[in-house]
Formats: sequence, structure tokens, C-alpha cells
Amino acid sequence: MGFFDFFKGIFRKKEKPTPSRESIIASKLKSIFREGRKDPLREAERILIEADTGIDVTLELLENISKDRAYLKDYEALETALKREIRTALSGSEKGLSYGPGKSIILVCGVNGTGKTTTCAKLALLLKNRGEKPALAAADTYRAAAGEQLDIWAQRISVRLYRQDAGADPASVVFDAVTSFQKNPDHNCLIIDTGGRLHNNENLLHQLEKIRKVIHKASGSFPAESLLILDGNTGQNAVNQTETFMKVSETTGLIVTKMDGTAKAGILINLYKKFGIPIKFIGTGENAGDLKAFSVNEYIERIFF
Amino acid sequence: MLENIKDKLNAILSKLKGKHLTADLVEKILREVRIALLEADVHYKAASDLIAAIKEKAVGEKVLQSLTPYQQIIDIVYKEFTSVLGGKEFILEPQRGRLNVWEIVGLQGSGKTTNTAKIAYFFKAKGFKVIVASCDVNRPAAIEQLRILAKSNGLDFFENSEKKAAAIAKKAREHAERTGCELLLLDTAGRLHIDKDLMDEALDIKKLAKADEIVLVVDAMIGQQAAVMTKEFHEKLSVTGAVLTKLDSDTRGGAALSVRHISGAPVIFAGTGEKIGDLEYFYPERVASRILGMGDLLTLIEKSKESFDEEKAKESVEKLLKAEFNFNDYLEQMKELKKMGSLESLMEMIPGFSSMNKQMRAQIPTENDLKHIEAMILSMTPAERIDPRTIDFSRRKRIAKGSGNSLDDVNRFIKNFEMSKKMMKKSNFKKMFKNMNFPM
Repeated sequence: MGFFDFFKGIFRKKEKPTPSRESIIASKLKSIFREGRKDPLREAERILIEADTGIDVTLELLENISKDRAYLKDYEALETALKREIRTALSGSEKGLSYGPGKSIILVCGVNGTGKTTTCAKLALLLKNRGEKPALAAADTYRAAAGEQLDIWAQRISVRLYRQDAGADPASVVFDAVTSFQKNPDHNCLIIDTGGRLHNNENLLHQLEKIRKVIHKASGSFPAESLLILDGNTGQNAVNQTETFMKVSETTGLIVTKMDGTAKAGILINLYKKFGIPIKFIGTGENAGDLKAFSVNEYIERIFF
Repeated sequence: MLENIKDKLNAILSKLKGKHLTADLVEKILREVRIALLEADVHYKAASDLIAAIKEKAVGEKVLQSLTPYQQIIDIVYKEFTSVLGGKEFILEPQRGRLNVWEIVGLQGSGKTTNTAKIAYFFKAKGFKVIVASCDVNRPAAIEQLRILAKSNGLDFFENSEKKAAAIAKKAREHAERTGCELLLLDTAGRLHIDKDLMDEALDIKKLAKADEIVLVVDAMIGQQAAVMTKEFHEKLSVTGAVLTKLDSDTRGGAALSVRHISGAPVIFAGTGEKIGDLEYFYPERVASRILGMGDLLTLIEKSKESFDEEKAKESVEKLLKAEFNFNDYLEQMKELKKMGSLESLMEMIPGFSSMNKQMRAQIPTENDLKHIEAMILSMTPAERIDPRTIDFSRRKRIAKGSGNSLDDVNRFIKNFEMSKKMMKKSNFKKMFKNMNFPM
């Protein structure tokens, strides 16, 4: 059954047999090819794809909506239904930071350039403002001046930083930092900044595994939070990133950065459906205070903005 | 992932065998292509435009003898991609004998600082007098980062105590002019395309430093925002070229298409790693196939089209089928194969090969085997090559000596050759060849 037939059916209000899943998807795909046709489905499709929602999730969402033909009449109704659909898909994705009681370690990782170092500083300030006693550890010893960058942040927000010389082995930096942290009664949270690593770089992934083992060895437990920092501008590759980091560092939450621009991060729907990892915060600027709890409602509004 | 695509292609290939390029067929295949594009993060609008252009070209196209309709359309798609991406690599070099100023701009975290150093290193190696300067007064330790990168790689770094980005740029230009530099690279702060103040700052830098090139650094893993961002940067600064970074990740890199489609500016460099030397010119054809996610098949299509002499191939297949195949034909076939690349790489390109079990794989001669075989044939006299039956014991001994193989090797080779010929005669290879998409 073609897409047009499907539509004709709706508008003539004739009874038609419910099309199979395959045929609905096929007709949706056909819709993609009918250029210049401003139908609500097509408009919704464009908005979702342009928000980086990805083709699979977009088609799935539209398919669910199309079951109720009332929504196909005008775009407004469709959008409302879509928003509801996304809200359902993301239910349970808002979750705060877990730490304490006692000493907690927060491990921060991700691919290059997502904003790990800045986010570490933001997290430290957030914890400090909550009355916790955070410290930072600079385990990115590869990137030039990464340690200095975190050092400047630590001074700005008056938080203790554990660091060693550039080029030191990250795992040994972590071991020393965790050991000192465990003994130091002045701190109850340690945020560890790690170097950017591409998720297909085996060596760097092994290094991350080693860092986790070292944390366990030095503190007796794995990190309370293992946070993956995702650039909000990332496209479909975010799926591969999350999948790998989940395996290697047992990711407990996502932080999506650079959300003060036009990024919509539609990929989060797919990520939450696939992996069920909660989204803890979004980064909304270059200042230490620019970290907000993730809100599904705000997120949805952003997609359709 | 790649295996899935190959399997999918196989399924489609078997369905479409023997058809012509009708509008319906083209549409069916382009639907797959469109999904591939969107999965690769090509911008929605850019994908639509491309598909429309390709559709026009593909319908009614004459199917080449060596290709199936599917391969033919993919080939058209690939050509279109490559041309949209700029065709050949765009070799941008500073002009010698005068100062060139390149301003490096982009979103936060795209890799501006690293690539400023990489580009400097790249041109220093080509003999240019290069200096780098950091105008990033925003990110903590950004200036320090470039200083360290420069110092540890023997690059000149512009030291100064200015606090404003534009002032640094101006001073840097003056300094570069004074010291007779040919290329000044200005690293700038990461900025959001909607941040008016910072975008103004980038424009000030451009004006004050009289920048010749505005190089936009783009993270290859970026999604649909690539287009939005490029548009803003281009409207404000007139981007003249782009660097696609982090191409060593497993991203499909659709951003390349979006950037080019929106700005018209070529992608010049590809960043392929964290080390200073990990920068190369951007090859549109490589990324075109990466975006399509059908790289292997594309390479095979190209190679079989370019290097395979169809007439010769036909002739030898016919001979083969009549079992008149002799060592001269064998040699000819080997030459044709060689033109297409190593045998192993060719085999890997054939859909389904990788799913073959080890035993079956072991039957296929390796590159090294082929060398030995070639040597053996070349050690034969013309008469021996035409009629293998004339090769007796003493001739075999001579061939072994002449080709540097053992007598056993020669015996085995001739025996296998005769057996293959017999098999060809018996079995229905004729049918098999007809069914193969791979030109033989």
C-alpha cells in the first residue's frame, strides 16, 4: 500500500485495514521522497531529523503517532502528540548526582573536545555550593596545558586540585590522588578529569579501564558516578560513543555540554531508549555556574523550538 | 556494521539483477542512499538537494556492462558526492615570499588549538617560515596550550602581554611582518555561532590582522548543527576553507557534505589523530565513500570499471568455459587482477567473502602464491604455455630451477591447472559466471 493511498484513506474516512509495521515504515520512507509536499508528517520528520534525533527514532516516533489518524490532520496536533511520545520515551531519564554518604569518587570521561575539564570545574562548584567538600584530580596528562586549565579553574572556585607533571602516567596520577583523598578529612568528593579519548582507540580505552581498577584498588570501591560528557552538537556517532564508554567505564550518567547554542541533542532520545543511562546535567555556558539539571520538558521544547 | 551493509547490499543485488535504470528502481535505491546520508549526519536539506540532483542524473542512464543497476546508481551517487565535496583534494598553500595570515575559527572543542599547531607544523615541514599566535583569551590555559605545543614541536610562538584578542592579532601581524614570516596562524577562542559579541570579535581579528584565509575547524562527529553553524560563521566571516577533525573516530563524517553544501568552501585538511603530524589534505573521494558507508563496494566498482579490459575478460571467460584456457590466458588474467590491487584486498571487497569460512579462504591463492605462479609461467617456453601437456619431467625440472621453486611446487601447479580445466568442463560454471556480479 502506497503512502498516498494511506492518506487518501484517512481523508475519505473510509475504513481501511490497519497496515503492517513494515508497510507503514515503507510509506513513511516514501514520504521522504515526495519533495515539496508540506504535510504534517513531513514537517515533523524534518524537525526531528534536524534536531539529530536520527532516522530510526524519527520513523518510530512518527509511526507510533500515525496509529491515531486524528493527529495527521494538522501539524499542531501532531506536535503535541509527538511531545507526549518523547516525554514517555524519556520518562525516568532525569536523575540527580549520586554521592555519599562517606567519600565518593566521580570519574569524568568522554571523547576529545566535549568539555570534560570545564564540566569538572562546574561539578566541583555545584558540590561546593551544596555544602560538600569537593576536590579535583587532573588525570589528563596528555593534552598540552590540560592540567594548567584545571588548575586555573580550581583556583577560581577555591577547590583543592591533585595534579602531577604533564606526561605522567594517568593511572598513577589517579592512584596517588585517590590515596591522598582517602586520607584527607577535608574532602568527601573527588572529581577526576581524564584525557579525551576516542571510543575506537583501543589503547586509550585500556588506559581508562586501568584508571577504574586503580580507583578500586586505592579506595576499595568503583566510582560512585562514572559520567560521560557528550557534546550537544554530536550527531549519530553519540550512539557509538555511549555504547563503548558504557562497556569500558560503566557509565552511570550523561552530561550534555554546549547546550547554550542551537544544539538540540535529539540523539538523547535514542541513547535513553537504547542504554537507559540517565541524563544528569546540561552545560549552558563557559562560566563555572553554567550547569543545569536536565529537564525533559525543557529538552522537548528545545527540540521543537 | 560494515558486514550488515554488505549483507543488505547482497540481498538487494540479487533482487535487482538484470534490470534497467527505471525511475522506480532509482527511487528504490535512492531511498536507501538517503537513509545512509541521514545516518551519516548529512544535513536534512543538503540530503534532499543531493538526492534530487542524483535522481535526475540516474534515471535513464545506460547500464554499463560490467556493473549491475545497483552498482551503477551507487556509482552515480558516489560521483555526485565527490564532486559536491570538491572533486579532487584542494591544495591550499600560503604564497611564498609574502606574509599570509590564516585565522582559525570554530565552535568550542572542535580542535582549533591542536590544529593550529598541526597546520603550522605541516607548512614548516614544507619550508615555510611559520609563526603561531593565540588570541584565545577566554579559555583558561588556552594560550599556554598553544605555547607548549609550539615549543615542543619547534614552532615559533608569538609572545605578548595583550589582553584583548583583536589587539593580539594586530600585534602578531606586525611582528610576523617584521620578522619576515610567510605564514601567521591565529588561534582563536571557541565561540558559539549565535554569540554576537564573540562573532564580532572574530571579525575584528580578521580585519585587524588582514586575514587571507578563514579556516573553520569542524568536529567530524558533529550532527545536523554542522549546517547551522557553518552558515553563521560563513555569513559573518566568509569562510574560505575547513578542517575536519577527529576523522580517526568511527564517525561517517556527513558534516563534510553539510559544510561544503552550505558554505561552498572546500574542506582542506583532515585531522586524523592527536599527534602533531596527524594532519593530511582532505580527499573528497575517501570521505564520500565513508559517508555512504559502502566504501568497499565503491572501490570495487571503480576498479573494475577502470582497470578491467572487458573484451579481454570476455575472451578469457569464453576460453575458460571451452576449457581451452592455457598458461598465456592465466598470465593475462593475473595481470588484469594486479591492476585492481592486491588479491586479498580485492577478495575482501566482494560481499560475502568475509563470511566464508577459513577452509574456503585457504583455497584462494595468496599474493605470494601468485608471485610464484607468475614466475613459473614466465619460465616456460611459448610452446609450453600454449600446450601444458608438452611439459615433461625434464622440462618441469628446468621450470623449477628457472623460477626458483621446488619441483614439487611445479608439479602441484600444473596438476591443479589441469584439474581446474577439467572441472570447468564438467560443472556448470557457465551459469555461475553469469550470476556473478563481479566481472570475470
